[in-house]
Amino acid sequence: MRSALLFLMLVCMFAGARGAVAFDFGRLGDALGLDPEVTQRISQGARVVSALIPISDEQERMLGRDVAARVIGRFGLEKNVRQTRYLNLVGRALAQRSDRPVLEYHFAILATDDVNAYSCPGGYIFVTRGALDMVRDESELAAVLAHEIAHVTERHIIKALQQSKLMQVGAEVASEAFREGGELFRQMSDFATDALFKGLKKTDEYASDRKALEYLERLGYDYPAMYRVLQELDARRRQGRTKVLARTHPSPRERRRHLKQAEPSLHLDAPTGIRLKARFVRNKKA
Amino acid sequence: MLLVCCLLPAPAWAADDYYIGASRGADVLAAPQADAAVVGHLERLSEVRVLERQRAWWNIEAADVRGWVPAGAVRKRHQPGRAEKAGNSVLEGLSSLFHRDDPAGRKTAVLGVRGLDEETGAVRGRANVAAVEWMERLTVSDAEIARFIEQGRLNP
Repeated sequence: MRSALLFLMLVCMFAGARGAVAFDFGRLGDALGLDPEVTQRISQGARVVSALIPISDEQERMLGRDVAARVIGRFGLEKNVRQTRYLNLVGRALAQRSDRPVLEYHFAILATDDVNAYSCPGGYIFVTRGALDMVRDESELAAVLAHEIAHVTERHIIKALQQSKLMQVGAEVASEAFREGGELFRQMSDFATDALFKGLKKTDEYASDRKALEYLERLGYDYPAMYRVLQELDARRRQGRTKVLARTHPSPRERRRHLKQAEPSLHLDAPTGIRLKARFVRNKKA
Repeated sequence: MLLVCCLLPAPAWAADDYYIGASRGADVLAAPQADAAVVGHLERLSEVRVLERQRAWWNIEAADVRGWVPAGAVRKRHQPGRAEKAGNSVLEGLSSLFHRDDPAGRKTAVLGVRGLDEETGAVRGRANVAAVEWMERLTVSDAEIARFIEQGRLNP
């Protein structure tokens, strides 16, 4: 009897891991000759296990790294050392003052003329060649990066993942899946990659725009740069140069409206801080 | 004991390596999405042939039906010839939920970007781990960042 119970609990550990979908505890209990009440209690226990599970920074980094490899696989990477270093200096300066400075952020350039930027979980952040060509000074580049950093610091993809059915699994099994690079890990990576390419929630985009203002301001950059970038995106959209962005984000016009509404006291139409155009141009020539 | 037997994967003489492992079987759908039309139902332990994998959905073919089932419903059979005790089989079968072998033999490190349809403009691509490593090697030190901030007259 005891060994049967132990076996049943072991089964629960695994079965509960998938939201108990795959298992009929009642039948299992019957077959093992257990008291139905005991079976029910174990079954309930298994469901308790399948609550929202935490994802550590290290697990997030592993996941983000996998997604980053797929983003690069999709677009290709521009291995321009000087420009990438410059991108990392701007990005990491912002990230140091962000709400999540402990992560190790990496920034790189995707080889596509499409105007866009991507942030993978864990701090792997990309801007496209098209986006780099669009921005006119360092504060505007910083605005693009700050928006992406905000997706990471606000854990938008991770939160979406945690709320997905995918994560209705037991914590022990989930961490095992991370370690082994198993099927669950792959499904999580699929989910995060899809979120990147299909777009996050509109509210997440508005929140990141707003957070970006804050990050720019902390470092002394001209925070209306965020607003100017959105204006420029609007212009590019009309030229059909932001196809992917248009599919995955609310319209730049809507984003500007939300930003103004959220920060009524800020003057977003006139420069207020450091723009560093000369440094930007110098580094882009490289 | 009866139940332990029914938890075992189908016999090793079965023609294909994959079978439906979900206890309630699986609905076969016309398309890889939850709201697609149901074109059939496969009982637990039904043999399936995997034709294509898309994210969380696998395109399978069984004796009299073809369509999409949730990836989690499909299990890979143990290779024949491995003598195992019933208990081990059960646990391995369960753990294979999370560590399923990839029919194409690919590892996590080399994955296509899957499940991205034409509507989103994304296509399948290979993962490029080497490029991520290049990106990770290109680090800037805290001292360099501090100098960069100072030179730009940003807030120290």
